[in-house]
Amino acid sequence: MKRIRTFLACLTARLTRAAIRLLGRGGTALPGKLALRVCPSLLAELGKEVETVIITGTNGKTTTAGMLRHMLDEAGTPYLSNRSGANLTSGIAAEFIANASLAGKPRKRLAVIECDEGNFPAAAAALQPRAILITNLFRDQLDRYGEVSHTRDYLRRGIAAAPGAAVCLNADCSLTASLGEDAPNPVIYYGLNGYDSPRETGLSDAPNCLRCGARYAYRRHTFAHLGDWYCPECGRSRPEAQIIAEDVVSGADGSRLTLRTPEGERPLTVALPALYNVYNALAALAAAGAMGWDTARCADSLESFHAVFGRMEELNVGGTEARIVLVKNPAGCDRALEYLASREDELLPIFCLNDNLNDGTDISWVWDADYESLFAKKRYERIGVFGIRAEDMRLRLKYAGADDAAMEVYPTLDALAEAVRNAGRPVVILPNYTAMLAVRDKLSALSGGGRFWE
Amino acid sequence: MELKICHLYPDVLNLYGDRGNILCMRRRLAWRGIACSVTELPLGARDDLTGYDLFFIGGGQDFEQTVLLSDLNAGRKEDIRAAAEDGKAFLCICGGYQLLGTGYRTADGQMCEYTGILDLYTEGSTDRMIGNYAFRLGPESGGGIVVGFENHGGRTRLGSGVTPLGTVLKGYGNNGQDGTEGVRYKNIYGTYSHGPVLPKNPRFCDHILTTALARKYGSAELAPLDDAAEDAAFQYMSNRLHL
Repeated sequence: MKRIRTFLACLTARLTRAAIRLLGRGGTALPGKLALRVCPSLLAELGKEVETVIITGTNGKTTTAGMLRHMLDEAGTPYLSNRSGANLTSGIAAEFIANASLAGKPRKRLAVIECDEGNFPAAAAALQPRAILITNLFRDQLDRYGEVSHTRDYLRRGIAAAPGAAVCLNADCSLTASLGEDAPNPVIYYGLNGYDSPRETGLSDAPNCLRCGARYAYRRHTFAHLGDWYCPECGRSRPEAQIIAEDVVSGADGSRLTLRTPEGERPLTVALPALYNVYNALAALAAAGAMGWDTARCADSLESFHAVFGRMEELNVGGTEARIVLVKNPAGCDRALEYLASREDELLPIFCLNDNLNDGTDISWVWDADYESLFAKKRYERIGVFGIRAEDMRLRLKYAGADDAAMEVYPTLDALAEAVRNAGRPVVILPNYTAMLAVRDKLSALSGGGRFWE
Repeated sequence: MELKICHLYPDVLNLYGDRGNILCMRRRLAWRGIACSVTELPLGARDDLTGYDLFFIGGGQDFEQTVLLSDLNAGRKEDIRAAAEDGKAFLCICGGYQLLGTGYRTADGQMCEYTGILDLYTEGSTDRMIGNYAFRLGPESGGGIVVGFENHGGRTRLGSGVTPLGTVLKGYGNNGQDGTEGVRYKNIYGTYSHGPVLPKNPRFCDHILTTALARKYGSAELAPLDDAAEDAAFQYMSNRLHL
């Protein structure tokens, strides 16, 4: 009976996928959704003989998954992965279905799976991964998860559902690191040593000790609430990390650092700008180690890793150099704004804001991001604004100190594409999730690139 | 003229973009050449509150609100009550609004005692009320329509000693049942609307600023501003909600 259901579910998914492709659409979730309806235990069935690493957390999921895939590509190891960012249970199921014969036998035995936080408990329970990687925890999609502590609860439940998994955690994020405190699983921590930047005042997503409620103090600080944290009251502190970056020098094209692991020390270049990509690289190395891969080779391949779609990705649009930097929440947005501020050349920045379900319908987070710092340093001749909530974006920028008269609201994707093509200067686009998909699809078509589901 | 704003508990009550409200007030005063200072009073700070003209309390997480109660009970509560009774202006959002009430009963029946400054109480529920919404302000709050975003599990009921801030046009408001939204008492404005509420509703912002200035200087008139961007953002949501 179970086998018949598995068969029917796989068949349903195939037919739906074929139909969608015929229509020229890129819907990546629907086949999985329908298949799960036919056979709810499908993911557990198809995942049984596949060794899986699940990547979850607020920021860096897709980039870290991209790094892990790149390691496997370089080693010539076959794997399956939900690479188009369809990271709900339905999208994950679709990937496993595509990997299986109609009878449910897997073709590839290794999986790199990016998973949305809310879907993580179900995915972890079904897939029983060998490794779980949790990148960090920031406020994100509060309309869906309610509050950061609720998201943390999802993550805790996901770990509890996979007692056999090795868990890789960001030691510098107090919210993430705390997940290792009461888990019986083996835990690998990663973090930055010896890096310090001035502590920002104001917003923190994790100001207070989860055990006693006292305010955290920091011996060192990287950004947002990340750093060498400790509680002066009860003594809880950042756990010691096993995968460590030291001597980090971060530049416009990437970061150079010394990588220290239980196996030794080596220099490492991360060819992606911004400090958060150092965290992503450490995260990928921790997960690679937990999966039992050759970590020395994995570190080598990290050096040749460039952007995944929409994350610092560069496109040439009719002669205009356009970079797309996905921003989904205040923490990630602040890093992107720092990048923008670091660009010395005359730019056309374009800020895009949608409020579809996949973005989070609550856009209030844009007021928590530090656009003020950007406009305190930069004066742009032209500023582009686009998206379902373009007017809200414009308003946010006005209050951040941008000149309202410099703002151009693009009413359509075509208008945006025209502006990019005729910009006469490099363009940096900061879209949130669904805006990124739309903008990227449009611009990459103009630059001769493939569509994202291909 | 000068307005002294006190931002209470910015370290723990800072969810949902609420600091945009402070930014909005600050800019709209600066654009009119009115001086403004913002003092942040985090947990544990023991400052005299009598020198401030306007208080802002934002929303926060359940976990952080328990941390907060011990601080409020260590003397801060009385200071806030005194300022409120003295006619100082308050803008309180979501969790900050609930905190002014008598208490909060959690979804599993546990009773938390709050400050009791206002005659209202809140009942928790796991079923959250989330989405864009709109309400019409009462005439004593300037009238007009406010659009915002609400996201709360708590259902708030007003007692007889206070009046609602407005009546719900779209969405849930205080409890999803009686059509009320927020609270008014003396110069206190409490609302579930974040998003933040003020930038898209510039007349509501100006009304609160005028209230605070009038309390301080006897009367106040704010010069009009170019609100084209504000009105466009308001209009978009107003259309979308079919107001």
